[in-house]
Amino acid sequence: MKLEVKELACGYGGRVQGVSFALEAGEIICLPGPNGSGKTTLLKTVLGLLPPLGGEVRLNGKRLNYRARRFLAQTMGYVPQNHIPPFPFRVLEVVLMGRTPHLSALASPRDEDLALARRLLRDLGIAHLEERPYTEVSGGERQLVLIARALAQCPRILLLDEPTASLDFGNQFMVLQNLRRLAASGLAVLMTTHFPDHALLYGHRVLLLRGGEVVGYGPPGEVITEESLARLYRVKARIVRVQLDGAGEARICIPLM
Amino acid sequence: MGLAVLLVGVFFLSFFLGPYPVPPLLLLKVLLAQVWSLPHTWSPTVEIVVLLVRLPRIVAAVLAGAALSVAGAAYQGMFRNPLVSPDILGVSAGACFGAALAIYLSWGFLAIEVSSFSWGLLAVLLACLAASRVRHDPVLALVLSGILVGTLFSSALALIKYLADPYDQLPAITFWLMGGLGRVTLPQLKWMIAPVLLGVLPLFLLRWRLNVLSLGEEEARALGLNTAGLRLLVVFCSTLATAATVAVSGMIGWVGLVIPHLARILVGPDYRRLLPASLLLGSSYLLLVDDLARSLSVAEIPLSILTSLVGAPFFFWLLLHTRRGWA
Repeated sequence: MKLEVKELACGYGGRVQGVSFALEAGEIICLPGPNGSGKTTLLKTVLGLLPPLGGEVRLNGKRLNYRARRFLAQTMGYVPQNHIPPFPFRVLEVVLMGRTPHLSALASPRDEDLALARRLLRDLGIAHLEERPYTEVSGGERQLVLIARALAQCPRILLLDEPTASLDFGNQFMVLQNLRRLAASGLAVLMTTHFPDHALLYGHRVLLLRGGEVVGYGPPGEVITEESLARLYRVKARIVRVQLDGAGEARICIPLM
Repeated sequence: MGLAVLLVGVFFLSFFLGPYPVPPLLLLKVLLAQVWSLPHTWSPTVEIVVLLVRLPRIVAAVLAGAALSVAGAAYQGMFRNPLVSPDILGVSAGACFGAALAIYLSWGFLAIEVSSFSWGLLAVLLACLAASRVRHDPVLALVLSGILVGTLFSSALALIKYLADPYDQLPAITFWLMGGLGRVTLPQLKWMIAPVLLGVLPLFLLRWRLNVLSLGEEEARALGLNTAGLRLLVVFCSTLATAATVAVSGMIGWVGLVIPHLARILVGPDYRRLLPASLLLGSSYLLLVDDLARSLSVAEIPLSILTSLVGAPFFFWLLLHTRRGWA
């Protein structure tokens, strides 16, 4: 499985220009960038929720047909930004909605769909929430429910819009660990994030956007540097290598006051 | 399940209400005689009362209640707003204008209904056309165009009322607008059944997709739905059912707004259960209220007055006594 984005232009008035990258099964690409840099716009355009203005998106060498909504939904699972919907669907019902692209127009989910949804909830460690209203679980749990819903689509690519925003420290880690596990199982992951640290820790590659332009693309260690952070966020920061006991080395960013 | 029993109960109860008493066993015989051949041991009066007076009215109440509450439930999900009723896109305003116009032009009884039904459809068509010209959020555009079209038709209605003969036409228009099922006859019922079924049945079949649609435009598309087409279909079906109802019974407020809430409190927001529950609850409720309307006093009480007079305190009581509130 290979997703190729070439010279993509999108956004209102073509605000995002000339984006190219390639995503393969098992990889995580992170999109850090300040607010308004065009991360979400890019994600939604790749999904076909916004019209592309130029360039192309190819799946396994074939140009994606953005009118084939059902095929798109079977290929790409979307985890939108955390929000609370108006109706209190139960957690299991929300996950079942991910089965929609595999159902015919008049059909409702069947027993095997139910079994799949339950298994996904169990894999993500939230089986006990099954009967709870989706509107009443915590932010981190809601994020996991949305990931379960996207996985229920049985996609080959998972696109996530700031999956760690508004989560506490423990929940951020839990969501990211789950994403790493999913990538290891053969899924391709494209995610936006507010935190350069997350890109350093979990990304196989990083695409840096600023003002709608790509200002860096490559392995996180090469792309996320003290210079690029200064340009991106207008913040002075140091990147520190940390020796982990028996787990190699990690890099983290520390802003300088 | 319990709701189905409730509807059947109310359905049969409704046959006994009225100035002419019909014993239960006789009622069953008269009804069954329509399906099987039974010896006619009853007087023709009984048959007229049951089949020509009470049956059309009861069936009309069931249909109207079902149409309004199913349309309301579908709209509340599609517009992602629990405060939406089936006339948000101007169908009632258009239908009322159509009826008033027909009364003003002294058209006949059937013509009033046809005019009302057509103007109701036309109003929504106008709203959809206007919305399709707006480039931004398609759902918001639809709501705003609906409100605009509704306002236009309300003003046109006011104009007709102003022009109408105050001794003859104006009261006729006013009574028509107040709503009621007293004027329903068997032939009219036939005109009502088709559009209501044609509207309610597709919504029923699409009930899983209504769940997904209620997640919002982007998420529904990301889950593989053709949202524009589905939305159009929901609007068409809801409008068809509502327009047919308004054309026969006049304005019946409140049912399409509140019955889906009650159903949601009872069975949750999943349309697989919500839609059947709304249908049964709406039918039972409107039937019960119509029973009150025709038996509380000698003169008939307009239906729209009772639907809210009975419903509002009941809904308030429910709000106070349920844990999950109104979402």
